[in-house]
Parts: sequence; C-alpha cells; structure tokens
Amino acid sequence: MSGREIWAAPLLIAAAVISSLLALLCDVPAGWVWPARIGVSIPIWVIGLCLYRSCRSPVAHHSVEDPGQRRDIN
Amino acid sequence: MRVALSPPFRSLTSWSRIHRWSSLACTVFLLILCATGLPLIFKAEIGDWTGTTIEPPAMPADTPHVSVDRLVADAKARRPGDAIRYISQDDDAPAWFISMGRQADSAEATAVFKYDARTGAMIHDIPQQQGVMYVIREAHVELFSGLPGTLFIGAMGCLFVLSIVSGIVIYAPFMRKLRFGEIRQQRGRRIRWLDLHNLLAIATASWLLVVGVTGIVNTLALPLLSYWQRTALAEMTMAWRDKPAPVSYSSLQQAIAVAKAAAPGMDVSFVGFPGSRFATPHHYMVFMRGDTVLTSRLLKPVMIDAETDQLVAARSLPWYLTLLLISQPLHFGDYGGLPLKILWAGLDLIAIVVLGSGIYLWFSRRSALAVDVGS
Repeated sequence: MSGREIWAAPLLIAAAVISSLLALLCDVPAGWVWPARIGVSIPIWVIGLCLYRSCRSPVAHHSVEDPGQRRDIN
Repeated sequence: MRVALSPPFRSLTSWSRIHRWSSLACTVFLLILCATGLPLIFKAEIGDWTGTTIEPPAMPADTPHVSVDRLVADAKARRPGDAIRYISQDDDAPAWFISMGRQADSAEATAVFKYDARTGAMIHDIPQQQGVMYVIREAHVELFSGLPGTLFIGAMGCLFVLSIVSGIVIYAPFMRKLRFGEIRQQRGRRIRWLDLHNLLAIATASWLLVVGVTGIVNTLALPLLSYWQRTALAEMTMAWRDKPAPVSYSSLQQAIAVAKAAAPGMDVSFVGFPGSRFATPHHYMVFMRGDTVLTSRLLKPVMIDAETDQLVAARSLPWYLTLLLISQPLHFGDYGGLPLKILWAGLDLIAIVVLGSGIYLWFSRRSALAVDVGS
C-alpha cells in the first residue's frame, strides 16, 4: 500500500474521535449530541468490522510477506 | 561484522527501540491505571447503585433555599475542633457540600457533610478515607504515595505518550504489505496477536493520546495550584500580606451575593474558605462557573474580603489552570452523559488489551527469534 493509503483510515478515525470529543465539550446543539457520541465510538466499530472481516476470510492474504516476523517492533 | 544500515532503516530501528523500551517501562503502571480507572468512570453510578450517595428529597422546583450561613454554623457545631476548608454546590441536585479539615489549609478532609439546600438539613455525613472506591481512587491518582506517587504517574504518562507516538511512527513501515486492520489468522498465535495489537492501538491512538496527555496534565494539579498561589494570588493579595488574619468572618451568603453580582450569568461552583489552599487568610475565594458543558468547567475566581464582604478582585484563571480544568473532562469522559461513560469504559478495555498484548509480544519474542534463526 502507498503511504497515503496506509494513513487514510487512521487519520479518518482520529479526526472523527477528536472532533466529536471537542464538539461534546463545546456543547453541540441538542440534535448533534448523538452523532458526536457515535463519532467517539468509531474506533470500536472499526475494530469490530476488521475482526469480523478477518474471521470471515481467515486464509485471505496467506501469501503476503510477514513484515513483523523478522523485524518485530516488540 | 557490522552491517551499514541505510538512514531510513536506521531511523526505523531507533523508533522501534523507543517504542519497545518506553512501552515496557510504563506498561505495568498503565495496566494499574486502566484497571482502576474503569470503576472510577462510573463512580457516580456506583454510588447510586450501592446506596452510598444520598440525594435530597423531591420538592417543588421553586422551593426557596436557606442561607448558607446556617449550613456553615451547623457544620461548625458538629465539629467544633475543625475548620471549614470548602463549601461546594452539587451540580445536579439542590445540595451543598461542606468539607472540613484539622486546619483550613489541611490537604485531607476530616469530614464532608452534605446539606439539603432548601431545608438546611444535613442529609449525609460522607465517609472519608474508607471504602473500596477510596482505595481505587488512591491507587489511580497517587499509587498510595502522595504527591511523589502522582508525579511518578505523570512520568509514566510521558513514557506512554512517547510509546504511542513512536508506535504511530513505525506503524506505516510494518503495514506496507497488509490491508488496514488485517489479522493474519493462519500465521500462528504470535502474529495474530501482533496484528491485533497494531489494529487496536492504531484505531484507538487518538483516544489514547487524549487520555494520556490530559492525564499527565492532571498529575500536575497540585504543583500548578501551588504556583498560582505563589504568583498570581500572591500579587492579588499583596496589600493584606502583613495584616493579621481576622478572628471572625463576615456572612458567606453576602459574599456569594457580591460574587454573583461581579460575575453575571454565572453560578457558584465552590468557595475556598479563608486560609484554605484556594484562598488567603483574609478572603473568601468564590469560584464561579458558567452553565454550558465547557463554561461549567472554566472557573472564574472572585475574591471577597472576609471581614467586610467587599469585592476585591474578579479575574480569569491563568492559562495553565484553564488547561488543567479543560483536561479533566477530557480525561474522565464525564461530560457526555452515561453513553460517553460506556464508550470510555469500552475504549479503556481495549487499552488494557493493547497493553496486555504488548507484554505478550515481548515475552514471546525469544521463541519467535528462535524459530526465525532455525528456519
């Protein structure tokens, strides 16, 4: 993946979370309270969807080189 | 033989090292903070469920309130040997809390009484320094070690933030050949946990950064307050510096009325009694708050002469105390109702999994390296 593609999802999640937290703190109009709360919950939805996707297709990308095995960050 | 590494690879290795060691140094303490923070998110609800919170009975909304001087007199009569530190107004119910200590400037409360603002009746003598929630709070805020414990938590918070930032930096190189959020189910348990660790951490990185940075700011509360007392507050009270402290104080109710007139549209959050940590020996310090989510956190101190009830000064707090006040809701997640608290708890649980998986990946590293060398 290109650098732009790698960062697209994390940046969108971060933008949603931070703007929602600030919107709630700055007292959004009543109709926007729930959208802001949902904005904070986006990481949970994304994690749920990714886990669901990997459970559905456990053998997908089997041949992909493992970048973490040889040079593990941990 | 040493192999020369290209600059980008050298930089990646450095960031990997920073991520590894900053994470390892703080993980155990962060696990303690996440575990103890979880019940603290629902502190008010737990108080309601266990019956340890007592609310004033329902009455018509326009029932008049009694003078706070009556509550002050009652509290003094209950503990004649103690001094009043603060009196604060309940955010949600018509009630006042009076906090007492051995002296007005004592750090620890000896008693906190809750009063019905309409009848003046003392409805709850809130137990101090006991109970499960107190122990959890002490562990979360100061690791049972007072200010050094709080500052140590702040230092661990700095390592945590460094760990998140370094984790974000090394995220891209390790995700080059994977789709976002891909979990390689068939590559063994360790790789599965590595992918899960990366997914959970990058998805919650912004929340982790917000809670981490605001947590660090919160650990500086006492030093910041102390700095404010030595600088801005000392400057405001220069004229009273050499005067003896008054023997008796004027009406608190009148002081509150003067403060309300000086800060129109605002209500009382709490009052620092003369001699307390939030006031001077000669003044009531009435902290006023606004009525929106944000302005209710941004306090405006109004200084009232405790002998004459004259207005002395009404200034906004300096930027560092404003930053501290804004940090608190962003850290506790208590400003968006119960739904936000539930989300905070969910994100806190995810943080626990991120930290736990990080420890697992470290301890399973040797076996992974052995397999790598063997193959």
